Amino acid sequence: MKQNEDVTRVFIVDDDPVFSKALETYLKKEVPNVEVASFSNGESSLHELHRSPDLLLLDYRLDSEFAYAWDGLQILKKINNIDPGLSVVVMSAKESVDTAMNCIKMGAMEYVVKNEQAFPKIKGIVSELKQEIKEEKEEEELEEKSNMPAWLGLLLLLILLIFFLYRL
Amino acid sequence: METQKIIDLSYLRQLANGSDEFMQTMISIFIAETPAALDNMEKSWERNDWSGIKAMAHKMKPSFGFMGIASMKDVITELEADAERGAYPEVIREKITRIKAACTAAIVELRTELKKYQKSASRI
Repeated sequence: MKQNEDVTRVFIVDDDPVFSKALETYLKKEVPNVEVASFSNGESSLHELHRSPDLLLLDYRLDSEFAYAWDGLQILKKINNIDPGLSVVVMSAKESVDTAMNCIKMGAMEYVVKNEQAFPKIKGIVSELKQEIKEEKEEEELEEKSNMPAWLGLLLLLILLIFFLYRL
Repeated sequence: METQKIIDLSYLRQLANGSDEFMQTMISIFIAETPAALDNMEKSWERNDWSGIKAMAHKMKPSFGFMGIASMKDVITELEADAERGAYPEVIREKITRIKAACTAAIVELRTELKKYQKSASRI
């Protein structure tokens, strides 16, 4: 359960500290109410999935100090098993349509090339997701409100029934 | 005569949107991380580990974009491709040497930039 429901939680999984730090600082600066956590390998990010991130930004090519470290696609497969609803964006310095298609087929919501347009594009994705979450929440609240009279009616009916039985 | 600068921080400044702290953080990370990455690249070359070189080149590419090291943008992309197709060691070596020289010069320039930001921060 999130402590603050209005906060959008983003995980960055990238072994490049320059890119990772830049993206973290940029998102914190540019997107309101965003909480960003960075991980240098996929394994540690999987251990933290219980913190319920809204979005995971995953580097396609992940190297690690671990000898048998998983790459981005292996991590994506694991995420699909653990939390299939989690939105994952795969990032790569390689501009390849085949790789992008493969990532989308495997369940990634987007494929972002790490070039000069990457940051504004990721900002757009986070903002859109934030809006979607907000709208979903509003819909849920509206649904709850519209269900209220039905509940009240049922309660009234129950009270009347008890009253009637009591009179008998 | 003014020498041509290796770095161009205009893109980073655009991302920073006025935040000197962001600029300092980014420059400091590049200065701290790049020498080790270059060492790893050279060690990979000594071991004929072309996949290691490919991985390092791939990893360094976005950092070159941030620091505006435009002269090396194509070189690092070519190095990644050379390593992937298993080019001659001399071809790979030549590109690593060029990248190392550019990064060394870039780090000198970045240290000067960093000092400017630190000075302006201490004035506040």
